[in-house]
Amino acid sequence: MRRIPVQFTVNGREVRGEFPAHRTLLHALRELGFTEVKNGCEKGDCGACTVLLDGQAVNSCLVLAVQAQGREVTTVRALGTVNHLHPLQKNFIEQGAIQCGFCTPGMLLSAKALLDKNPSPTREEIQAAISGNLCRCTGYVRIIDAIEATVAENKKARKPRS
Amino acid sequence: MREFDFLAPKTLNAALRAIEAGGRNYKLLAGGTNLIADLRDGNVTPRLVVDVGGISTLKYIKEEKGTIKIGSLVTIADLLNSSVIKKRAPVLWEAAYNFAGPMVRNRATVGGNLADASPAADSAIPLLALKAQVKLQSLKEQRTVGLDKFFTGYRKTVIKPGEVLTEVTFPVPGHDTKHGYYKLGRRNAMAISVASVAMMLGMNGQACADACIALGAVAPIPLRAKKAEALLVGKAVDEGLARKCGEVAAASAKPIDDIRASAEYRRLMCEVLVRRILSQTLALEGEVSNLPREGD
Repeated sequence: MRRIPVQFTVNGREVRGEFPAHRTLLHALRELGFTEVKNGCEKGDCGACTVLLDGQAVNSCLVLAVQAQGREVTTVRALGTVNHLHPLQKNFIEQGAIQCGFCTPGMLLSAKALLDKNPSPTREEIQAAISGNLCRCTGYVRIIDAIEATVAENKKARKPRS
Repeated sequence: MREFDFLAPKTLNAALRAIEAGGRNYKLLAGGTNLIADLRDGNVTPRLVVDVGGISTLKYIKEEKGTIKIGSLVTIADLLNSSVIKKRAPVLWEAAYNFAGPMVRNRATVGGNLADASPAADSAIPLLALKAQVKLQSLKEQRTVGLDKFFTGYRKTVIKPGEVLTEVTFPVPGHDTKHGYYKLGRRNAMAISVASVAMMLGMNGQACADACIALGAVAPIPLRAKKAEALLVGKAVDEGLARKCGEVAAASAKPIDDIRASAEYRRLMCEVLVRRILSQTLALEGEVSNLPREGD
């Protein structure tokens, strides 16, 4: 089996690996220890494997590892740590937007991709932004609430004090 | 997933040489949203995969002398972000808006969506209605094919071994042109069409001077309803004619039963969608039901 050397960054850190051409980015990342990237449907339907590729949300099950050559991958681990939660993470916890947690890494990254592009989305725009991420537990309402709460906090923070 | 050799040429010429040398058992990889799922399921087992995604010269949207030109590697997200598409070809913009979900739109390309040739291909239906043409390039020649001649059967096209789909073009619709689009799916996002209809109507006052009606997911290929179009030309469309047009369009459909809907339901929806889109687009009286608009 011919393996192809591949080099890319994950959460700002350079990683190297040798992968057969048919290895998906999803499996490569999990082999490299980034098990926060979840394997759901493996055909682009569920969004559990969402990562940011050069800042854009993609299904890592529909990207080959060799296609990540020279590119920048962001997983949910880049958002925050237990002691320094990202505002989205904090609000997901506070709003009860997590039940089994399997969709959460993908949800958070889709939410981040949205806010990076559009800091003050409407509720409808939030719904559209997570429409490629399936959640079988929450019914989505609290996830949308959590993202909305983050938007509201960001707005408050941006307002100059009078 | 079965093993394969992999090449990622940076220029169109290098890609053409790679597939010329690769014989017949190769697949071109663009956005990968269909191909990688097919590879995983073993639906296709190529010996060679040529990733054309790095060919930057095939990523453009431009308007030149009354023609819109779209490089085949333009993504569905690129269409959505394009003011040219939103302003000049809203029928295509609406289809892009209703295409899968954000992650798929970030990867899926226009060329890939057409070459994959699913009867439900969401970009094919508005592009058929816009009378688009595709450019096919091989090492030896370049040829242009009308999209209505491009699809030859279920997931089959006129693309020959050694050819790459490089560009999609269509004339900018005139100011007197009206458009309608509706995709019927089981849910709003990530849905594969149960039936979809795109329509372009060139108006001359009250009369319809030119009509183009495209049907998705109701036949082995994305289909033009040419008999239904002919009914409208030269006429002032009223409710009766809209109804007749829906019936004739449905008669040209050859739907199948599948996991998403029955053939009977698809045929019926084809009739209803054509009638309602005509009615709504031309603001005819007597149609009570409204199709939800994009964003609803």
